[in-house]
Amino acid sequence: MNPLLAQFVDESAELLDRCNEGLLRLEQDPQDRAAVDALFRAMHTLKGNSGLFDFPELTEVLHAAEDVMEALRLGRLQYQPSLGDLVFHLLDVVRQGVADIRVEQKPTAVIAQATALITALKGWLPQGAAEADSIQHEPSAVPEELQLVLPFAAQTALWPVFETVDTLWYIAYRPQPDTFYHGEDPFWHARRTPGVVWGTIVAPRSWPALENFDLYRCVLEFHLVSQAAQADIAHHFQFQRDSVRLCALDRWRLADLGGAEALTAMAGARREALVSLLQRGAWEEWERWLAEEPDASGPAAWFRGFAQAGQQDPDRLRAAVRHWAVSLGLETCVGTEEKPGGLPPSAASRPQEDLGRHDAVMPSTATIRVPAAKIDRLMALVGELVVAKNGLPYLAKKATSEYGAEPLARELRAQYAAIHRIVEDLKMAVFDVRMVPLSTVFQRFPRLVRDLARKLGKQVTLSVVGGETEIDKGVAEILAEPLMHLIRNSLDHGIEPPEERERLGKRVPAELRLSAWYEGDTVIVEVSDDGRGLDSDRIKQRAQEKGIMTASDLARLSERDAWHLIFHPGFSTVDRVSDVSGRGVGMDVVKQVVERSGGRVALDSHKNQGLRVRLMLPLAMMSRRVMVVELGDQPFGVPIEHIVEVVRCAPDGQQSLGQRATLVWRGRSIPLVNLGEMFHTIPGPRLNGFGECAVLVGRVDDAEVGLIVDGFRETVDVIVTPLEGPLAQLSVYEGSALLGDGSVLLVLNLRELIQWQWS
Amino acid sequence: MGHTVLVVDDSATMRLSLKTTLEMHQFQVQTAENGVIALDWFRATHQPPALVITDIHMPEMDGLALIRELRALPRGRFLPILVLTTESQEDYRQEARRLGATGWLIKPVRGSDLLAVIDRVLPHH
Repeated sequence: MNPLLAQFVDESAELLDRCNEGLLRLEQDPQDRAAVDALFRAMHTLKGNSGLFDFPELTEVLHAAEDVMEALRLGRLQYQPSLGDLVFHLLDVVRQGVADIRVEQKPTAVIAQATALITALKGWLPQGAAEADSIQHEPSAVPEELQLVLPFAAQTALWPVFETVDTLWYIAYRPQPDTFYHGEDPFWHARRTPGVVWGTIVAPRSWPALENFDLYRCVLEFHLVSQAAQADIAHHFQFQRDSVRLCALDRWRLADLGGAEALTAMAGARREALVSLLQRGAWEEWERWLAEEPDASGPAAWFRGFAQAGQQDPDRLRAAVRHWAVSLGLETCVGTEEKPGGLPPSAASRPQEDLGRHDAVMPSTATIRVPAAKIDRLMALVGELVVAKNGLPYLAKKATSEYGAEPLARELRAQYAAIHRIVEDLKMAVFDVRMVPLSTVFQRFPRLVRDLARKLGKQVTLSVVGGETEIDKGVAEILAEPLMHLIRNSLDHGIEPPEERERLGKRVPAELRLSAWYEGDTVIVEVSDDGRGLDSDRIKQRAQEKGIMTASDLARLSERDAWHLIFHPGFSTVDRVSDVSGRGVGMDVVKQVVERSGGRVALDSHKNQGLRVRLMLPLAMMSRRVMVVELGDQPFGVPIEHIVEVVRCAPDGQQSLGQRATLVWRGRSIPLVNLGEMFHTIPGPRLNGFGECAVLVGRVDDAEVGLIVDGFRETVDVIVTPLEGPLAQLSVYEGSALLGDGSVLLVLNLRELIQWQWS
Repeated sequence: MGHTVLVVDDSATMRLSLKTTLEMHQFQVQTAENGVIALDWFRATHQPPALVITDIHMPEMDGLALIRELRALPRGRFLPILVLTTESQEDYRQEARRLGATGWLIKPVRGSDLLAVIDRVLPHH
């Protein structure tokens, strides 16, 4: 006999003794709780042990006996001597059965009487107990709608999985907050889910404050997609049943998740071509269309996967495409056709006619096309609202100073705060409407580069990265020209002819990169090549020839400063005027255009390794934040992005360097401009009790300037409009703006002030 | 050397059964007859178990009380604990979960089920 069976036989004898003893005590005192507990426990153990072996009758008999003991224990059944008789009998039979095992390897005595015993025992069980049990385990709540978190790229990656399975399972596993105190490792558990093809961790929308943060509370969710069978997944989460929600994900469900987005992400012409050929079911054209799309991760890849997965049901596939196209406003023929009394469109003008009645789905319009002018108008109105809103603080000030109505002023300020918030939100909303992806600008360049390279006999590959980066429409529009200049310059001056590159051991074809990305509130657009780079000696030489700077000034210039000479109007390093670029109107135009939109240009270059030009552009062109400074009684605005610091300056802090006044600021001498003197305001600088005057330190690019002013007021958001008419020639002003109280604010152009100061 | 598993059951047969199966799969097994003995060993040992498997109904201290006690000890807080229940004891399973059990085994425990469940709850097994 194997040791486990021997152990079972021995222990069973002991357990049967315990049962006997408990039953005897119960017969003495039917209320003896300890006796009932002992009896139940022994019977329970006996049954559990029997289950280890293949003695089904024994286990069933003991199971029935255990149920009766449990009913006794829970008070559902009262002990009676006749029940005692039955149980004593049962114990005898079981004891004989266990003895039989020792000899015959099976509980013969129990097998013989099993049915009778089980029937007798069940007769003692209270009715309805089983039903009551089952009700308890019904799911208590309707599961909430499951929010699928499945990024576009993940969807694209899931398509091939449908080649082997028809249904995937989306699993949202939200461990109990105290999961760690259940000895669980939710991350590991999620990782080990069978058949996982995708997964992500979803962080809570808001985190608890640091002081309330409990390291041992799980706040994360795990979202997975598995190709395993539902039963296997359920089994894996057997102990986490309440923390897991499952959602079947077939190809059509997946299609609905990303279709409209994939279409939206596609460039206009490609998109229309796609919709048209999918609608017509033109599969030969479709293959050709795919072949033209090398991009392995974009919307085309999504559609490639979708078409592959959906080909089993082309009608449904077509209906889905149509649904997205209509919802994006790409296709409006349904509306026309179904309009009562509408003219039937001619077949020639409507190649997709037969599809108009394809399905009865009339999706709501998710996208509308709006003329840009309407949005510009909206933008202008928001701008005016920003300015009008600024009138409230003036009113509050007036309420106090003129009418002494401080409570009213307080209310006005509170009201201002509320309106300010709404206006800011509105501004952001309108701003968002104006955002367009940079791909709208970038898409023209591949062709341009190809044509130019061919014309110049150069071999270049252009890589475009970050076309999805969004930027204000106004900025995007003005960007095309500078980018064109930069790309032309790279091709013409930067990138060497193939034979020269080969001689230098450089890669042929050369690489030209056009990339864009976000950095805080800025969008960076970068044009870089691996060509000659900037040659500072040649630049200096050319600057001298052109009379831009004297030889002695040039000698003092650092390499980096020399690079910036290329932005000087009229500068061109090419000896011949090619018909591509080099008319001397390249880089200075780039710089001007970018700066006009509030951006900056940065250069980086290594000789023979290439040139990198970075345009740092503001996300939006709209209101500017300016600080109001006083000169005499006249307010002037200074754009806040140029203000570095506000300092007090004692008379001995000022020095004269030749003819110029300078200020020693942070160990450096910077030019000091007495604005009052410049604008002939009377009287001169206002001094405090220590004879100090107020100086505003401003910076444009790397040049600093100190401006002596008479006082500082608040900072305000204003819309700066360029000066017009004769005033437009006053370049020291960036423009004018209306203040909330209706007065006009002139906004200073620090760049011009600095240049003017140096000239 | 494998992980140590603490098996708590008042039935010697059940202890032997689990011990045999686990030792066959390179676990070290420590057994205890009830919660009190298990807890005493757990407090004293220098080699705390990676997993506890406990029966529910036991004299002296039952399985539910043992879970509560273990969870109150620093080194028992995050310990995987499995309870041994019979098919019908759904309410005990839920009660055990509430008290901090990781999961359950349904008696009679088959070797393959035992290992599959251990594999799921023992992260670095």
